[in-house]
Amino acid sequence: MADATAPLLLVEDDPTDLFILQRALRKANVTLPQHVATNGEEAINYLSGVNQFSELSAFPIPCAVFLDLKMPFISGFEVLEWVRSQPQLCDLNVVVLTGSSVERDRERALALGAKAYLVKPPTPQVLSDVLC
Amino acid sequence: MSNSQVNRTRKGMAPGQGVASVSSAASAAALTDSREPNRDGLSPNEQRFRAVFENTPECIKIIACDGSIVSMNPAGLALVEAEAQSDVIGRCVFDLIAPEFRDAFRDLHDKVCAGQKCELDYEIVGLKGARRWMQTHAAPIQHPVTGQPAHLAVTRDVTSRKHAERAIQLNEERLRLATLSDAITLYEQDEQLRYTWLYPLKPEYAKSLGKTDSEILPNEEGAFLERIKSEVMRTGQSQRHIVPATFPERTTYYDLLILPRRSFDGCIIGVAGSALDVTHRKNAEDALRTAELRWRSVTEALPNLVWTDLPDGQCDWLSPQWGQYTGIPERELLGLGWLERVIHPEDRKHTLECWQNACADKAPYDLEYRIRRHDGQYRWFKTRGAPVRDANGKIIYWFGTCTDIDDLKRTEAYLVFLSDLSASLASTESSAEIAKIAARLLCNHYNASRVNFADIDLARSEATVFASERAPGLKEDRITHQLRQYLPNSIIQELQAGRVIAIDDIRLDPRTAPFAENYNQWAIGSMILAPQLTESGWRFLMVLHKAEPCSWQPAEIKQIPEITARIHSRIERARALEALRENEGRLRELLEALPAAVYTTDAQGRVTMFNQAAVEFWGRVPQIGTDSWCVSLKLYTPDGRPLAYEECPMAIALREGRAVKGCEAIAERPDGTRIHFIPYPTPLRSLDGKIVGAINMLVDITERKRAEENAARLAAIVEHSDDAIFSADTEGVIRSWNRGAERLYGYLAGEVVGRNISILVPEGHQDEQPRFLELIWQGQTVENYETIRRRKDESLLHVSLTVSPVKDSSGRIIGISKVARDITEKVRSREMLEQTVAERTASLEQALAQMEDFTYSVSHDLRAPVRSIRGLAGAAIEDYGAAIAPELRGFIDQICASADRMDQLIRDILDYSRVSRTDVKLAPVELDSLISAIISQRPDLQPKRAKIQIRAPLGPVLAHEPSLAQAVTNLLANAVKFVHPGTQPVVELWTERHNGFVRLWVSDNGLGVNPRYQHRLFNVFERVHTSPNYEGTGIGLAIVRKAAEKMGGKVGLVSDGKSGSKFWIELPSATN
Repeated sequence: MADATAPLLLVEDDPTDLFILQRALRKANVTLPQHVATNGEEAINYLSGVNQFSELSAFPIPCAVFLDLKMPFISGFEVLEWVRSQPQLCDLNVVVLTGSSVERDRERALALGAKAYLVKPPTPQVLSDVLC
Repeated sequence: MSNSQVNRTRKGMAPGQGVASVSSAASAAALTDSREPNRDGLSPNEQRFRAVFENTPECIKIIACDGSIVSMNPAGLALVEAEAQSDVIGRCVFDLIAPEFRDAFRDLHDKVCAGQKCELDYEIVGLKGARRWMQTHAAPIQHPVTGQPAHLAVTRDVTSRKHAERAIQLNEERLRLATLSDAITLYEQDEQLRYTWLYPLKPEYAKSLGKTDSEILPNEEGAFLERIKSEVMRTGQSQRHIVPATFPERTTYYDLLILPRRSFDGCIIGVAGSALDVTHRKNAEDALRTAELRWRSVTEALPNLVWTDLPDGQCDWLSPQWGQYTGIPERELLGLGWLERVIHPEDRKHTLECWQNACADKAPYDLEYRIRRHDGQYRWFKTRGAPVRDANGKIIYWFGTCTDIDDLKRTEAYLVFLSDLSASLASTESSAEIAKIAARLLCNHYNASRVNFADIDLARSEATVFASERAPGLKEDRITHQLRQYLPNSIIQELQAGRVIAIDDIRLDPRTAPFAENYNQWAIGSMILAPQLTESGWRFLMVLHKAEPCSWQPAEIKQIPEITARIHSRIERARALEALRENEGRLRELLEALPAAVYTTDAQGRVTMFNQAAVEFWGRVPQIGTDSWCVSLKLYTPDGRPLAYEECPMAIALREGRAVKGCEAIAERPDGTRIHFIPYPTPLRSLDGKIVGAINMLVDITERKRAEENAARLAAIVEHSDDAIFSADTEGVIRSWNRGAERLYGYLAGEVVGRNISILVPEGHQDEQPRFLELIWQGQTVENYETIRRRKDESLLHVSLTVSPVKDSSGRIIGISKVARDITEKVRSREMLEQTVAERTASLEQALAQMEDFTYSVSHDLRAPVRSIRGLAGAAIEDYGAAIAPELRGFIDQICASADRMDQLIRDILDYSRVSRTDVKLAPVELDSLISAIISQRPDLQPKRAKIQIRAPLGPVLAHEPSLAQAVTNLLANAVKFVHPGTQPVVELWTERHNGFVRLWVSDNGLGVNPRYQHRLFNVFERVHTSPNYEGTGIGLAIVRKAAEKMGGKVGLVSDGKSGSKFWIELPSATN
């Protein structure tokens, strides 16, 4: 990862899934700071540093984003599209973590610049692999 | 003792000799007897006698009357093998006599004792057993002591003489027997060749002794004998001859052996030898020789060829006729030379076989073969061979005769040929065939190279060959020949006179030699020309050719005129018939060509001739001369009333003698069918004008009638059809218009007929009419063409048009006909239907899209809570496992399992739905690589878990790869899942190709599927193994089936429910 102090941004609307993700990260000994966005809009806000995320020091650009696809209002795909449209985020590592094993979703996510496509539930091993 | 025995004892005794000996012996004995008492007082005489007694080599003994020996001198003692006097003195003399002579000796002894002198030859047996012959002279004497009569015997040992005599006797006997048995005479002649000894000396030979041969035989025979005997004497070489001896009374033949006789010093002193009377044998031989000579002269006088063969089949003698006939020396024909040299090559094999069979069977045989004469001609011979046997039945030679049967054969062949010819010529009526057959037969019979038949045009001196048979390779000469190019006038004149000309050699015969070149071009070496004269002179010529010169046999030439006459008459008759038939034929052809029934009758109306059309008209073949003209037809008038026969035109024609024309009538055939016809009967008259019959032509007008009826019927149909039916000419001008058209278009027929069809065509459709016409011209029709037309009231209507050509009777297109049907209603309902379909399609598509969304939601939203349940339950176990009470732990495990199952169920349903919805596009998929990839990705298919064997190569199939992968994965997963506990799954995969499909088999060693449930196995949610050990959602195989069906394939299963299952999935082959 580019910056050792940069946090992880976890974009997940389901608290259980979030719990499981965080638990897996813990088990994978990932000690990076974590920010959570519970929907797409919040994630975009975070990444663009608007509203409550305007303070860059408190909400630095994350070293990686774990992005759920199926979320209310703004879906993971829309987030990916938005990230692609942001030149300053061209190096952002977005890992899609979704419950969909549909091939079409995988293809679409990877086409939109996702670094990896993980199907839930995440395991510590997979997470440590993807963060290496 | 009998006198004969006495006499015998005297035999061989010299007269006087015996008496003298006995007297001297008696004196000596008397001296001896007084020897003992007066030993010293002997007188000188007595002493002398005593010396004689003692020293004589003869045995002297005195025997007393009782037979006891009184004294015996030393010679006597030696003879009886006594050592001393004491051995014999006092013994009975008879003991010393051989038993067979004892009686004779006793007789002699008695006689001597009675005072007689006697002699006797006898044998004694010595004391040691030796036998000796004795000759005794016995005389009476007084016993020196007793004074009684005694017997003085002087005995000589004659043993050796006796033996010699015996031997001589034996030899003489043998000689006698020998000479008696074989009429042999032994002879000796001295130096002057005078006979000195002859044995046996037959009385008639006695006068020959002392004479020479020439004295005995005062002729050449005697001289010859002397000459050869002199030669033997001169040369010392023996000779043997058979010589005759002719005496007035008889002639005797001797086999004479002449040997030189030599003296002891080796000088030739004469001749000796034997003469064997062989007269008998000689006579026999002579008789035989005479017979043989007679036989030879007979055989040589025979016209036959005679031969003899040795038993082994080699010819050893041939009569001189062989040489004369064949011109080959006998020696070259001996052995098997005859077979090779003079037997016809075609007959050799048969002859040899027949001959060998006869030799093997030892039986007489008959055989026919051809023997070559000195001039090269082969002639037929009949051969009869028979074995000649000796007295023991052994074959000593074969005797045979060959009789020339050539002329017989020829005559026979000629007769056969004539009969063949007649039979063959009778087999056909065609003159060409007759000529061809005759030429072929002639060719064969005369072994001719060519046989021609020619017509002669004497005025132009031409011969036109009209039939020719020739050997292969010869030129065809069926052309007209100029006679003068081949024949001199002399021959032409001969031929004109009807005489047969035979030319043996075209080149050598002075008559044809000048034309040799002309013959040469046709390869003719010899020929026979046979003319046949008719009342108009020489018109026909038969020619026989041979390629090589030959000598035509007089017999052959003699046959020719008869043959020529037969063939010619046969050809002429056939030609006449043919000419007649040709005329008849033309008439016949004309009649047959007529489409109308034509027949003739006699004056009584009986059918005499008819054509095929008449047969068709009547419906049967009439009986010539029997059937009447109406031939079992029933006749009616055109309006159906019965027509009496006598009112018929034909009857009228016959009755009234006039032609009748134009009356229509109906005939009913026996089968009930009716014919409309018009008869045209015309009477036939003879030269004198009498009616001899009639000719009738029946014109069948049934078809015409039927056509008329059909046309009327058709017109009615058209008129009353609901469809608009109308026609137009090629210009488009309307020619007909039915009621239907009136109704459809609103125009009345009168309004549109004559106007152009374009009045019916609205704007935008004007090009249709020319297009229809073009298609019609191309021979096509237009069917159910849907378009729009305009009514009289300008309204438009939908019509379906069927356009077809209108043709005239010759098939020419003269217009088009159209059938138009109003389809306005149909078009309207079709438009409605299309609209409905579009609407439904849209709603379906919408439903499908919704379904898509739904399944996506299911996949995502339905699974999310399950995942949560599973994740949290798993976390609880992981994080608090040790602290959880065992019962609670069980519950949590159940929660995990249920969540897993729920998740699997959802995923399977998604898979099934995806497979169902996926729009599959087929492409070649390599099964080998696909299956390798599947196996490598799934832990349950790894080698340590399951043994998976693939019979590579599996080959490519046409499939949708994701669907196929899904299906194969499910099959493999099932195969390794449903096994008995503790069993290692063994799975085998292979493919079979069949009818353009590839069937992939997945065979396992698992539980199998009960055949009862197999039909349900591929349905959704069907599970056949309910044990909790075998988890499943019951969707996997439904997915497999759905996938296979989507790809145009099938799935299936073979299992007995016990020992594993064999699942298969069949897909189109990618190699087609």
